[in-house]
Amino acid sequence: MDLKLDGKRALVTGASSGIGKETALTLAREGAAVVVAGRNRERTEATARLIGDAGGRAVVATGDLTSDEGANAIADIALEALGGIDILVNNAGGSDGDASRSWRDIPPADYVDSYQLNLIAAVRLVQRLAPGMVERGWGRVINISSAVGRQAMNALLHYGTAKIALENLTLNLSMDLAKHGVTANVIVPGMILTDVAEDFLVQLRDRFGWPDDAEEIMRRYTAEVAPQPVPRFGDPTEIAAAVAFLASPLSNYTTGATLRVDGGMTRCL
Amino acid sequence: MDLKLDGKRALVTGASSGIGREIAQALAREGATVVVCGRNRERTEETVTMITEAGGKALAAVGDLTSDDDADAIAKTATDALGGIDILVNNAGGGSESGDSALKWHEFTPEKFHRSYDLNLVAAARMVNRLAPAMCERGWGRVINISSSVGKTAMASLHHYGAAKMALENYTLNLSMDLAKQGVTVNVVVPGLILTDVAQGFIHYLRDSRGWPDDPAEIQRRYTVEVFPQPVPRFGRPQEIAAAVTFLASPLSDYTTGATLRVDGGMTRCL
Repeated sequence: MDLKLDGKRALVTGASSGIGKETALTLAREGAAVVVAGRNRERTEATARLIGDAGGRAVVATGDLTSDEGANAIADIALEALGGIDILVNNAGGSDGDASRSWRDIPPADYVDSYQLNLIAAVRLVQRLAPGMVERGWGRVINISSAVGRQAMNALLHYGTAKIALENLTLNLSMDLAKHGVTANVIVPGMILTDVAEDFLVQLRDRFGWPDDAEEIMRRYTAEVAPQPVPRFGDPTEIAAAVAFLASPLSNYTTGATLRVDGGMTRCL
Repeated sequence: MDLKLDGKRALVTGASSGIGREIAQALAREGATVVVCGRNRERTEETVTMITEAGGKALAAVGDLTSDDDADAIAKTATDALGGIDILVNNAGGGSESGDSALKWHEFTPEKFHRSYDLNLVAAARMVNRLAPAMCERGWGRVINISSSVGKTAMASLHHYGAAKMALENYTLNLSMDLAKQGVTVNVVVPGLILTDVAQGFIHYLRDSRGWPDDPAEIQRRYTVEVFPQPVPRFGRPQEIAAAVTFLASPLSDYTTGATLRVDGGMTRCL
């Protein structure tokens, strides 16, 4: 299937590792020029190098999206290098702190920080890059949420609340942007095998005294601790494929939509 | 992007026209062999001819999925010809009669609800029960159910149809929980207003009843801006649904199950 992404210009945040890195690689493989945005210069450059080595075109933009200045820096580099961005993938995000903290133990400051990183960072880039899409009459905003936004786990309250806010933002944005040919959609990853998840596997091994076998730990976790239909963690490439499909002009009629790639973790419609 | 569907065996219901026909063609283009199901033999065979003339592989299976016997016959035709089905697309549905959209809530008879449920929900279950067990045995498979945005978005109309489509989404989620450990995913695609033959008729009706100009694009624009406002100011194309089905059918979507993908021009206003 030709996704018709050849010649498009994409910007992927949080592209120095994990899901963002795979998304950048996939979009580049489909022919898009990709601005690789990250906080860590060395790792961001490593992603760009992987793209370049595979024959793709990448531009490095480092900055911290929890500040207006950081967002300005990233948008300026992108616009200067490529003249505009057609596909914005707001993937930067995450949750800091001990994941086992209960509602009593997560301080308000962590909620504020999480909102900055998971919601406001996306707003900053939308406001800087989507007006150009609207003028040109075509564009994509693809926001990466998390299954814990909708599926309450009695954990990560600061993270889940910010992610479901991101889904609401997407739906509101979709209503304004569609008549200009710009769609806004959400991808919802479940448990994905990123570096963070690799660390989590080690913690699980130690906590439960499980064997030192990543596949067995994933199987036990998804069967016994947090049961979900697909008995494994997802691969970052599985998220990247979904992003590439929604980025494609083939998805022109899809907006305000939420595509779960979560191994069936979410138990509600 | 290589969807890795080459050599897969698909069955698409309601494939004699509209969305189903487009899905059958799209899967065949990606290398799948497609069993084209429909009630009308002539139009079903027409879809087969379109696929084979484009160099694809297809065969026809004619029957009415509100009948257990016909469901048996369709499943047997498919299994005899191909040895099994890897991808089941339950697209047959609809069944609203002309005039249904004007009915008041107290005019939807139990018979209408019953018939709609049989066509939009039970027909899917009939095919799942016949074809999914072998997917589980082989350790890979797809069930893709085609719903409608009026399932979730209430329009104060088509009560019998919306209720049945929402039931189909619930059924999908339940089924996904059982089948995933055998490598079989179950997902829903939710079309909004799509430019099928039925919609073409609706466009003519709008032109005549509202005195709008004889310009389908302008009629779509007015309808989606003035009558039932939605973000994307046009009807969707069957190809846009087919692309979504093809992507979910791909092994690239192995981690997606129990999911709902709207292709509805933003019509749905809720998360």
